[in-house]
Amino acid sequence: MTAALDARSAWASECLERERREGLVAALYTGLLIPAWIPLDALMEPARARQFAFLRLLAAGVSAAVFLRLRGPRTLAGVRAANAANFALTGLCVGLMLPQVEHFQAYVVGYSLFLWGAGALFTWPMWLAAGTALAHVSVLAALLALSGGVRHLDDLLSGGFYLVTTACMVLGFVAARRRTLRRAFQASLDLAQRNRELEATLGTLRDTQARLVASEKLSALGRLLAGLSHEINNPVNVLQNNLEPVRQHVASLLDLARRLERARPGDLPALQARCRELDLAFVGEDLADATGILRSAVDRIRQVHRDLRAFIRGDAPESVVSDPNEGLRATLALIGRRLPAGIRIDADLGQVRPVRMQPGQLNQVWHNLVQNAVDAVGAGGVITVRSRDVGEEVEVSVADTGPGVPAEVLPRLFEPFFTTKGVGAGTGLGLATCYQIVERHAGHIAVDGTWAPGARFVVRLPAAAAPVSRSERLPVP
Amino acid sequence: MEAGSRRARVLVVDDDAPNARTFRRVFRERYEVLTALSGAEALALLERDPVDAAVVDYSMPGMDGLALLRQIERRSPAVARLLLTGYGDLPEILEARRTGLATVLSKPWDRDELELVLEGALAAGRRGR
Repeated sequence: MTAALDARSAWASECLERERREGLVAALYTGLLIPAWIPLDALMEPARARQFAFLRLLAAGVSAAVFLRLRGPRTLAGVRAANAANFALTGLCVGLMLPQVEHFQAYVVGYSLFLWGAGALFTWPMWLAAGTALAHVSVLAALLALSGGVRHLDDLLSGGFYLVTTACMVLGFVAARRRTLRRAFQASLDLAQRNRELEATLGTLRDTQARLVASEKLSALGRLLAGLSHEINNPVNVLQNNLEPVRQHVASLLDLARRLERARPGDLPALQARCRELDLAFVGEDLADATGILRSAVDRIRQVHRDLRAFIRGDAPESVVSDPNEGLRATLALIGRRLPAGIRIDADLGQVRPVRMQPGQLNQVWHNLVQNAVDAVGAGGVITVRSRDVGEEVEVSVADTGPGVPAEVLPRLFEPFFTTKGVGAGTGLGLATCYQIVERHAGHIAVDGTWAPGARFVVRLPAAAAPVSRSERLPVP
Repeated sequence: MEAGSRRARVLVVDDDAPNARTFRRVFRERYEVLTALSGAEALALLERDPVDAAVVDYSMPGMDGLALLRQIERRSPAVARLLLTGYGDLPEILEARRTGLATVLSKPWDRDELELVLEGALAAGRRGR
């Protein structure tokens, strides 16, 4: 629809420019050629020469007015009206002479020559039309010079006219046809060339987009893994470096136990001395401390593993009907572990209806929105994650106390590759990916324009048609 | 350990207490180990007790490891500086390594490697004094 309208207006503006140009040439043509016949009137129709001269000058005046009109501001309708007026009025002036003339054939020839020349102006190249008009005028002049009187002038004129114009028409049509075909050929060649270039560009764009989408996934995954790696680094360090001290303690105690096993009553003082040397109280404390932090390190790794499993749960292509709060909790658990000091996340997750979803994909949305909020608040602030039922939809919102989204950025926020983060800091695909995922879930994502200070992203997802909650699926005892 | 010389005094700064305790446990026979759980605590401790080396975790809330090492470099340039991190290829860490602000070691650390690097840094510090 839009494309059709565009084509129509483009065509109209093309017509306006061309018809105006043609109209200007035509007005010049009529304005000069019609009065140029005044000397011929004096020769052929001396009785009516003055009356004819008046009509011809009147026609020239009309052409001059049209010429001036076409140079001013114009519309297509105005241009067409001016052109029509030019031909109608000048034609009328000349037409009024025809019934009165004695040399009727000569005037008909001159009149048709004039109209024919005007027609040529609109179809032929400018130089060809001008050349034809010039040839006609020179043939007329030659005939006038050659003929002794004016008695047979009309016969000579019509004969010469037909000979000259036949040749001109053949040449003119051949030239005009060649020109038209050549233009069409050139236009289609240009189009084909541009089409090829566009196809190549499109292909490049698709490749680039695919690569960037992949890199966005990698960058999101990379941030997640960097956080996890730090989270696992510390407990692994504890596990790796406490085992040897524990082994040494156990080895000394084992050695002591073996000596005790073989001991005789007289060995007791030596064994007791060895115990004092070992400082059993210290060994006991140290072992308790080491095993304590080893146990807590294992617990921390298990917790990371549990959170990660909850986050990536259901990253399978098939969709499930599930509680969106589960994914939100998993995401907040993951991000919460690496939260910079000064940033607090308030989770206000209400009882909501289940949603048909691909959990892995939705988690990507939650992760992106919350991570963006963390980036936005910078050194300190509060992020509020809320979930609510709103009519037939479930609404999840992520609000922050950061600087907010500038108004000029709003319209482009969900565009792919649009980013306000510095070069290399963001791919500009995070929100675009969120948008796509939410769309695929038949939901919508938007920025709450009324929220201040900070930004609030709102995702709405349709509640599943048949609300099946986990508890309802359990058999009733 | 050089005969006759006192044990080197090493300050370990890590917001993760089990990690700091692990360092102390591993190196208590070799070094006199002091621990701090934050940059601010470390700086306060340094005011009272001069140390020979500081082994600092990069990722800490508040003042991060690099900021702390910069402060230490300014206040006591002779203290040997080690940075422990899981992100050895971060641009600011590469920069710190290049400018000599710190010797960087990745976490989780290996006892022998850490000792080797720490001994090197201590020896360089002693030469510098």
